[in-house]
Amino acid sequence: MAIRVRSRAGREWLLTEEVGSGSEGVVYAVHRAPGLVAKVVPRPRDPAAYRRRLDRLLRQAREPRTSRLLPAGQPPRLAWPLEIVTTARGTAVGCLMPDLRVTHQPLECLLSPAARGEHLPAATWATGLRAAASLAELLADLHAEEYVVGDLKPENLWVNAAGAVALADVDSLQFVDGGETFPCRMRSAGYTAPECVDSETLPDRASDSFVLAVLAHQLLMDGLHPFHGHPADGSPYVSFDDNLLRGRCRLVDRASVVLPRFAPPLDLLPAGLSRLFRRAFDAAGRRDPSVRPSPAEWARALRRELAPGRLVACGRDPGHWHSVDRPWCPWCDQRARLAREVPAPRRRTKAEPAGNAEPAAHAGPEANEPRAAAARGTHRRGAVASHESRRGGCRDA
Amino acid sequence: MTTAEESGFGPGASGPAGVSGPSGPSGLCERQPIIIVLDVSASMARPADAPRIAEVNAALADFSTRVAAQARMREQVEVCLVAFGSEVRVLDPVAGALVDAEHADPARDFVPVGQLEPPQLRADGYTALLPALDVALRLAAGRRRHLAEQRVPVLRPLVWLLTDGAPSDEHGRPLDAEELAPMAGRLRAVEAAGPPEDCVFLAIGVRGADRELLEVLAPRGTLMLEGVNFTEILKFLVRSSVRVGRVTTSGEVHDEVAREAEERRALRELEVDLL
Repeated sequence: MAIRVRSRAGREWLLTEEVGSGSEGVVYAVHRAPGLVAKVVPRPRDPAAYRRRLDRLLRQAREPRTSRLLPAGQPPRLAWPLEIVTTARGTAVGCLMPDLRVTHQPLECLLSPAARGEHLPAATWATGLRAAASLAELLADLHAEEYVVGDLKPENLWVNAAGAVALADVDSLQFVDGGETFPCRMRSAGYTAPECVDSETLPDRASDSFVLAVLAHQLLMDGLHPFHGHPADGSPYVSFDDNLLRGRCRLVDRASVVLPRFAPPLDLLPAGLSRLFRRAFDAAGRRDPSVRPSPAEWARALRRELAPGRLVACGRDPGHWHSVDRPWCPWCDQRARLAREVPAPRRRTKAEPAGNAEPAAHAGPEANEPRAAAARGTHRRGAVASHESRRGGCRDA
Repeated sequence: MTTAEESGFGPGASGPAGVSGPSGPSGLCERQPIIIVLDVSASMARPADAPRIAEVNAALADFSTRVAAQARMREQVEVCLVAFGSEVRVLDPVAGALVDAEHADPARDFVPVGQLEPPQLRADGYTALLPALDVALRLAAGRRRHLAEQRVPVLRPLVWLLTDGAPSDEHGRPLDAEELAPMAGRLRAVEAAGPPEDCVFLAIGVRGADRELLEVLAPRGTLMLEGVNFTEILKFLVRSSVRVGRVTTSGEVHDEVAREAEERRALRELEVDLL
């Protein structure tokens, strides 16, 4: 079974393999057209508006507004729609787009320590810094051309081994064209600015800036979400958004959440970046969008940390890089803390099913004293799984 | 070329993730417990030439490899399998076998979704749905409590029922809507409860399932996926679980899952036969 689609000029393509799905629509590989994927939206919330949105995006691709965003001859930064297609059967609409899998990996592969080891094994903290800078530059350029991303989240972002970031789901961008606003109404929990949580408020540049700060935190903190953590006051954990609305954030208030002891230490952040994070996440930044650092400000600050002399290699481990602001290697510290807390993992065999021991004891707020490793069952590792090539999943590097 | 252990930001691939391995949660992400309540009553042995239970076994066998590539899914989702016919049994992942539900242990019986390795299931017995749901609700609450005690941020558990029939008691006598009402009331109560007591119930009916009775239990959360194979159903179930995990209310979860099921149905209608 397959889905047959055709362009307005009558050209036909066959979609045989699903490679991912978004909040709206499903993405397929295009048969015999490597380098292309097709998104099909079988039930758009407003079919006429979706069709018009695609029309405008296609036209904009030929305008100066977007040609600056899509420089030729470089790895793509945006999976901009190339052609509108309709299905041979039924009335669904969709578009052809460049296949970012050719040049990039899902951003999740850089955020997840496990996936990183498998798919981007050469990535270091410097790669995270480069990716954060590249993302900030992409947002700054989009904002300069009056686009708002709106649904900015790891699932829509891609990264290559050099840390260059690209954005998929371009058809959900928010923009104005010919006096008509094409809004982005998608929200993704954990990646929504406080003013847009549980609200009909449309995103704007400042809400993108908030989510940029969330993603930059994850890129520099080994995937850790800035609002991660169990409430320290004993109230039940609900979600990142709940922690956000209640101001529970380690970076702003260490005593507000409980995190595992092996969480990356806060002081690995260079002082300049720490200040930017606080401006985005503290009470003022949460309440007043105008005080948050803009993507351009983030880009400058992040590039500054990549300048010669600002990055230091750890003498003991060639994979450890850190800021010169941190006098010794935070990653060696983290490894030591982990070793104290968690017995060395051993590989699981087929005959020995997965146990489900929990991670190490968690540090209380402000807890600094190392605690003796609790007596726990052996922690086992799962068999390394095969890699299915798909959007939203990780592939072999 | 550095090894995975040498590279990465910090401790690398054997770092925090090493706590439960490359296909398990790292302790630095939220946890989404899901409980799959699977009907393995005698009707699942039909039709004789292509028994549904064989399809279920095949779908479960390659399930962990299918999800392994999805970084967020495998770090976030943990699964507990409850199988019921005349009796209710729970997968003990350490023993790799189904054990009597009275030995179920919320601290042990949830595995990262990439590590689910159930034994071959046999279809047998009646459809003792009510005791199975009772076990599932207790495991959901117990798991959440266990993780909260460990200070692991845990999202609201999701209970997914997969059935091809109509509920009966342990002796095979069919149950009617009135007899299901107390359980329906209990399900509505946990769905309406605030954290940390709440969980969401969803029912998937496959060929032969009694839709009306399922809708007594899950008025907004019943999906009929007739003609969809179990591999697709499991994929749908996990994909939806990741998507709705952080959604605020149980009503929104039901709406979002229904919307996704409708999108999938619409996509199947767009397919053309290539032969």
